[in-house]
Amino acid sequence: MAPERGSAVTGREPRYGLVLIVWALVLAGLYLFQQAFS
Amino acid sequence: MHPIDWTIVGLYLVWIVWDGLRLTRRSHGIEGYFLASRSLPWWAVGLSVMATQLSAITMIGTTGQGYADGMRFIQYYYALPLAMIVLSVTLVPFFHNARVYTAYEYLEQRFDVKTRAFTSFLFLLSRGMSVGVVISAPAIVLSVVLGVGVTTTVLLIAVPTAVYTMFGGVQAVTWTDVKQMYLIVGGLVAAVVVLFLRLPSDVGLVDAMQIAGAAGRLQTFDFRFDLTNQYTFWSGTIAAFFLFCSYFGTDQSQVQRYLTARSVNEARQSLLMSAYWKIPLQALVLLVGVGLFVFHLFTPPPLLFNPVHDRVLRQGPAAPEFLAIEREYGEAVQGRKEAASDLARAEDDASRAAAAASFRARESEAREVRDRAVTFVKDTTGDLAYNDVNFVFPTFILTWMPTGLVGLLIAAIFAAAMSSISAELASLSTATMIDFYRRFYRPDGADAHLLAVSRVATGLWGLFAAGVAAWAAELGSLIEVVNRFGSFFYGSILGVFILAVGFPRANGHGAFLGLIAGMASVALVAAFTPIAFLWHNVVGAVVVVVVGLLVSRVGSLMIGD
Repeated sequence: MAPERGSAVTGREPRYGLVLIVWALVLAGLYLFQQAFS
Repeated sequence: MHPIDWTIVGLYLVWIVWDGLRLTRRSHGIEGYFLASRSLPWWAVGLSVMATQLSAITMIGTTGQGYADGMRFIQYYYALPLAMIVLSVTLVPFFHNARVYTAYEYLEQRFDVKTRAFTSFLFLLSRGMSVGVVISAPAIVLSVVLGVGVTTTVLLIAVPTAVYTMFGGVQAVTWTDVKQMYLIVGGLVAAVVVLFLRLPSDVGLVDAMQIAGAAGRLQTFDFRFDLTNQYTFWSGTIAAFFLFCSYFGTDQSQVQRYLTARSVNEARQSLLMSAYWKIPLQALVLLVGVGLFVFHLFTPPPLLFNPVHDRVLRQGPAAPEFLAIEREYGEAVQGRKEAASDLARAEDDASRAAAAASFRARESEAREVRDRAVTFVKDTTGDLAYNDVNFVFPTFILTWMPTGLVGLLIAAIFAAAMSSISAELASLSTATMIDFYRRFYRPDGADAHLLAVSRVATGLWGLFAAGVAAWAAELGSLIEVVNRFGSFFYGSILGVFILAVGFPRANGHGAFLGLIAGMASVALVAAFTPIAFLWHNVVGAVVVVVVGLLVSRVGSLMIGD
């Protein structure tokens, strides 16, 4: 059956935990960048 | 500019208008025109979300900020991923399930018509004004390049954008955004590469970073808690969290982007693309600014980046004094260059520390002369808002980029402007049509009639924005102007949506009076305290929620609930 438009049927469930992990890694990277060159 | 570069810019303009116009046939009815019939894939919507946020002000103002102030501004974006997660869990499913065209339409379903109309009106007011500022930033660049009036350049940017948005609708907005985003990122990467290739041969990438770091240009974290400073870790994580929840959750120019997604989960995915990529992208933009700073350590910068003011002073009665400051600046810059070279050549920690201290001293000398020059410009010309940071990157592009890339970068600035303006014009038209015209004037209007009037509304908003842009052209560091204007309403509007989604007992009167109280509080805070504008979002949102709940509660008690 074709996915219904405008419903929650299409697309996979977002991975919020992965977003948080990447966010923490990016901030950590920026902090290390600052420390390395200050 | 070389004819090849003009050709590239011209080709870009023709191509993007053609690309937008050919999507006109996909705009069936107003749902097709305003929401692409809720059919777009998450990745296109996600790129459109990013392209809408990244305007020419980012290309010009933020690179200038990176040049003058370093990476500190990156902290402003730290809370963005968190805001995207919160919105994905809360407002996004509400909007999709309500099948609305505008964020404000949902407020009528939840509260009442006056709350919907008032928030939509506030959106039209603030976004209508700010879209003018978004046009004027690249207009300034073009007026410098062409040597023509700002009004002409405003029209050159606004008219093509209004044309493809007017006819192609949101399909044109989204699919041109996708291509414009590729062009912008390509242009920025090219600029970074050229900047570092233009450094002296004995100054490597690590040396350049060490010099920038010694000048304090690589500060990415400032943990001081200072309510008067918006570029700290705390402003960026707490206050900016409210700003981003409001911008992405309640500003129609962004809400409309993900309402076009074909499902709730695809709308969420589109927002999360920014959660992953916005901070790295902003770091790239700021790195261009830092690169410009390092480049100008070894290649003397002009005393004034704004060629108009430079010419006025050089040819006016104050020329002798101006030339004296320029000579002094030249000497300070030469001293700074030698100190920077010493720092790049330093081999051990002790000599590096000594060279860094010497470089910092020379850098503050150069900065002191330059500050004096800016004060001199203000006193002599009477232009008290003089600030030429927006000219730093365009000046580099036109003077130091190779032929071909100049055209690409100028086209990228056009693209950044147009991708934001098109989404904003579409959203202004949508709010006008859905929240006012169809709601109050023609609730039973035929689809063909509404579509025709929608196109006219988009065109009229384009004209209005061009008009605002024409006199908003000289406003100092434009990014803050836009954000400051938005912050006056943003927090309060967010407060209304928090009441709508988070507090089932809140009612229409509470939301409406809370909104007025929130805006009044922001006005008072702005007028009588030195608190940085980013925190106004927090003040507005909190006051709306507290007052809204109190009024709702009192109302319930009075009717014996």
